[in-house]
Amino acid sequence: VDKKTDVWQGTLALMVLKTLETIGPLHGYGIARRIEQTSGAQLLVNYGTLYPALLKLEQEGYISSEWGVSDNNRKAKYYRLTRAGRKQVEKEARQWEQTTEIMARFLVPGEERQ
Amino acid sequence: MRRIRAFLLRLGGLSRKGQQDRHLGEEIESHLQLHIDDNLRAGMSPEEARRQAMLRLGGVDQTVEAYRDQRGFPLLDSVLQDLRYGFRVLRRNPGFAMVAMFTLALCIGANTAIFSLVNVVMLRLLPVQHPEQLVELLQKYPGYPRGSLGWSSQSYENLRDNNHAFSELTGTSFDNIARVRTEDSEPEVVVCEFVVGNFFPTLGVKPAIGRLIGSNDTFDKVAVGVAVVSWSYWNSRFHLDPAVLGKQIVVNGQPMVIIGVAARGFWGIRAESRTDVWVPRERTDGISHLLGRLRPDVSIKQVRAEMFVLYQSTLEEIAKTNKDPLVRQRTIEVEPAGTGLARIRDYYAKPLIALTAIVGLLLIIGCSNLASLLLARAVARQREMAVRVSLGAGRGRLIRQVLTESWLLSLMGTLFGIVFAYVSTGVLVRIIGSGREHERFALHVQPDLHLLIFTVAATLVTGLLFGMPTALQSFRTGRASAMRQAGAISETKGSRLFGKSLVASQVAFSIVLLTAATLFVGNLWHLENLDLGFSHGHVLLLSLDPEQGGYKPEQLPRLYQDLLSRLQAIPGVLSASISGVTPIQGAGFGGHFVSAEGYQERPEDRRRGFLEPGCSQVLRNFANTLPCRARF
Repeated sequence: VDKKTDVWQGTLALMVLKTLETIGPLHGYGIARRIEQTSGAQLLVNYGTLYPALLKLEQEGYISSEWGVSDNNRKAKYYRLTRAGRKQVEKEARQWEQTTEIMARFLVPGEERQ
Repeated sequence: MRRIRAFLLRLGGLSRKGQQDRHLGEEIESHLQLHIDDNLRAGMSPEEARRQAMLRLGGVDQTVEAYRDQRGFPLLDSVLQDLRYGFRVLRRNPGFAMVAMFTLALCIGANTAIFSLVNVVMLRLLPVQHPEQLVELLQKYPGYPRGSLGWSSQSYENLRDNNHAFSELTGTSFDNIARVRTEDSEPEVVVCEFVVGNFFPTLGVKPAIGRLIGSNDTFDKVAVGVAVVSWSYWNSRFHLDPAVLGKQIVVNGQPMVIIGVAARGFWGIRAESRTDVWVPRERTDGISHLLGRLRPDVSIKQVRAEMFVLYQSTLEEIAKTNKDPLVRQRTIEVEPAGTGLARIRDYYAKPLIALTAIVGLLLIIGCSNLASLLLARAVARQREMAVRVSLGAGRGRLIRQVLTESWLLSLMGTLFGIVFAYVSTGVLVRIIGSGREHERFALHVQPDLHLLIFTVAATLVTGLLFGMPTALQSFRTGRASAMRQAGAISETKGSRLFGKSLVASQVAFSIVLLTAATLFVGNLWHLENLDLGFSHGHVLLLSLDPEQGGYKPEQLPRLYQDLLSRLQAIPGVLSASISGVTPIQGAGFGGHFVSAEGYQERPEDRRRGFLEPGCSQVLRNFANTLPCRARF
């Protein structure tokens, strides 16, 4: 039985955007694999939910897509971060950091707070 | 902004389905290929590589479904699907569809027609500023219809100068058969109003061009007066020519200069007829209708209390000069006038409410009729429902589909019904106004927000009413027969009982309507055949207006004598006569009080002599022309 965690609702979009920011244009399968790798094989991406998520990001204008050819000569649809997407990554990353920071304060044991 | 963009793209996604589905298919295919390649490199057998790739994707169909939901609007998609299916079902049963649509068109059309009249008479607000602040003051003698008594200018001034409830109090009188001609045209009969100077400022009506009557404008019998015309009169008579300002018109023989056109859409303060010309009233003349604008902080209850007190002092004033012994019994009423003067509502509110109830019943009969038709059809469609249920259609989805079908029917019924309503409203208005040309009845029925809301609500409720039994029934029996794996027709006891009660209620309601209709027709027949006390067969009525023909008053006696002798000379004419009014027309010139020997005179009799139809001026030979049977 696979004990890896599924990707949480709402975080997949940020992971996709961040991946595209780091790597550059990439196809859906590549994005999914990359997310799994980055998580140190802790996360398991549901490939079926990835494509609707990509479509949503495209509809919102954060990414754009075009057909291309992969390294091993397979036709694939490549996604690319748009300028709006870049801003969105920044914004969401900041919010996420804030959230984790707040959560961390609660979870660190033994520390006295006023 | 992003949301709107996404929304528009999703909307666009609805129309380019085929192409997008192909692209998605290719993308999924390429995803699988890439994954399989990886798996092969990891040393899996080709079959295992493909199997693993498919497994991780979680099923091609599920992915496509999830993708489609994001692309379009899943709810809208299924609604469109239901609509398309509903159309197909109706096309397969054209006979049923025609009967259903005809029934619905009649029911919804009748309701829309009656409501459009209710709307005009009771709901539509006047196109003036803050119509809800307007109230009408009405006075009457006990036992008389309200508003039957006009106001003297002294009473008006007393109320205007001593009240604390109104920011403005104004008044107007109507001449429904004013004769108006322009410099170069024949006279025509129009509706004219004689208004107090503050009439337009009180209502807050603005001029379309020129200016409106103000407090300084007075009616002057010697000099040339001023007049304001309505937009529609400006349109029909002057073709919207701005040069109308300064033109002279002659109103009832008095020359007037047009100083302005009232705002488009303002046709006076009566819901039932439209004013063409406004003229300042003569300062000493009586006023037939008083209209006040409440101060914002005053309630109608407060103004009623104040008016009651103020009116008593007004009555004391009147009693000083008026010999009528019953003056002190007059009462005042204050009515909201935001929808126009109260008269039309006094006359037609009750009949209209009765009609609303009748067409409401008609709608219920139509609905139960259709409901039983649909139920019968549902039995035939049980197999289809069973298939749907076994394929996993949920309760909500199944009910929605049946309701979509019935709403589709009621929508189409409404479309035909609107045509029916349009025609029948015109006929109704003509019937109401017929025989009373002098009232210048012109109910202007226009589509507005009230009417739209009513029609939409009627459509939805109707569809729900006749669709719901079938929807629930389909689900129940569909599930039952799905479980039995057969489309065997079976009726539960409950549904049979329901069908029977539908028929029973239809018959019951129909009998009520039929009885009411028979009563109405019987009443009408009795009215038509009422014994009027004179024989009215073979009598022709000829009305003429010699002033329009250019005759001077001093020429009239000769003209009438001449006409009468020429009429009598026509072969076949037994006798001819002239009268100021005709019997049962209900009007007369002033009145004469005739005291007969042996009759005990009551105090109100003498007043009635002045208020009620008196003797009309009748030429000799009248009794020969209209043979009367004297009755005691």
